[in-house]
Amino acid sequence: MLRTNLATRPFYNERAVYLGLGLVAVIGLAVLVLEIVEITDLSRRNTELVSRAETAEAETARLGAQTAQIEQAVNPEALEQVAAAAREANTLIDQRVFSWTDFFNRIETTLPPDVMLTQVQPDISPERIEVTMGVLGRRLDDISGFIDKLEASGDFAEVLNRQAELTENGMYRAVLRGRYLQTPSLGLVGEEVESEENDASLETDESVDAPDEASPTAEVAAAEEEPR
Amino acid sequence: MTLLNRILAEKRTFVTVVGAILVVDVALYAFAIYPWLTKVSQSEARTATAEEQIEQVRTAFSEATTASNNKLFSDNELERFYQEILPRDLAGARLILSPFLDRLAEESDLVLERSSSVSEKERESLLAQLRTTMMLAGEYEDIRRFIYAVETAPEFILIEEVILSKGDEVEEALILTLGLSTYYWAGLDAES
Repeated sequence: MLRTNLATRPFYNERAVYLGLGLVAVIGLAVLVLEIVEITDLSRRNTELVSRAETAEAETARLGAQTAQIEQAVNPEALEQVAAAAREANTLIDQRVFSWTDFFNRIETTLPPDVMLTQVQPDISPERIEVTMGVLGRRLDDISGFIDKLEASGDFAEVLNRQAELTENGMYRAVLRGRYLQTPSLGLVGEEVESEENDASLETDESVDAPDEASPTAEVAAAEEEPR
Repeated sequence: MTLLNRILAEKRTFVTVVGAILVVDVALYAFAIYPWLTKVSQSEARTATAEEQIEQVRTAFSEATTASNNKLFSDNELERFYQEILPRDLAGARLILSPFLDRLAEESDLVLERSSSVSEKERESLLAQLRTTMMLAGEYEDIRRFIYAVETAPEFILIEEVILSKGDEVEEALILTLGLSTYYWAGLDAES
């Protein structure tokens, strides 16, 4: 059996060649289409991104200018002045709200018969109310008993007999100081307005306490506790 | 001639077309897609930076607006406090302390034995203080009534100190020394 091909131009499978080339051509065309789609997509995406960036940049410029304008109008120094004025006003309002009638009502329920209240001076701050009281008592024990009763009533805390002396009349005069636990209607102003300041913008550590109607609330506070 | 060369030679047209398609593919990637990818990447970075900046500016704008609004609100409230709640000036403050409190003491059956007033102003404060010390004589219940009347009066009066002592003449009578204050707007430059 002859196995050698003696033909000068032997046959080959043309169909397979056409199929191979056709396959490559189809793939190439598909890639071409995909590339065109990709180019269109990239172009659209780029336009969109540029548009977003331009909008953001324009908005940044506009807001930046407005911010600078506002910061120029409301400088930290002016804010500090307002904060100081508001603090002062609120302190006065807090003092106005202190109910002396309520205070005396409470004292009367705890004052022993042998002790007399001679002087009262409240020291009101936003955090607490300290009251200095001058009292006269027959014995020091009476005054100590008064202190105990004050604390036991729950209206006072940290009461201290700061000074005691014997008077010419044989009575003991003492100066008591303690924390009065009347819930002060602090911020009867209603609310605190916070503003912040830093070197670049308008932040401040100070809180600007805005005053509100002082007298009406004070009236209510006092009216609720009529003298007994 | 190898079989491959023979195929290439015999199917030259077809091979050329396929080759051209592949060349166009590569060229399109090199000269269109790649530059677009770079451009889009740059645009993304630019957009991200711009959006980051706008967030910062928005925060700053919001803080500035809040501070401005707070200041405006506080200014208005302070103005109202100075104009509507406090006496307008020294004359107004004087009227509160003198005829008003005198009348109130009389109505409470207290005898005004002595009173003294002084006006003060701290340098940094916008307000001036008119401080009065009243010495009143009367019974304890009347003193309580007077203090209650002062507290509930619409006038802005602060009771700062209460001193009680026994009078010498009448056994029942007490002497009340009362430290009272009211405030009025004086401005930064005003002198006390």
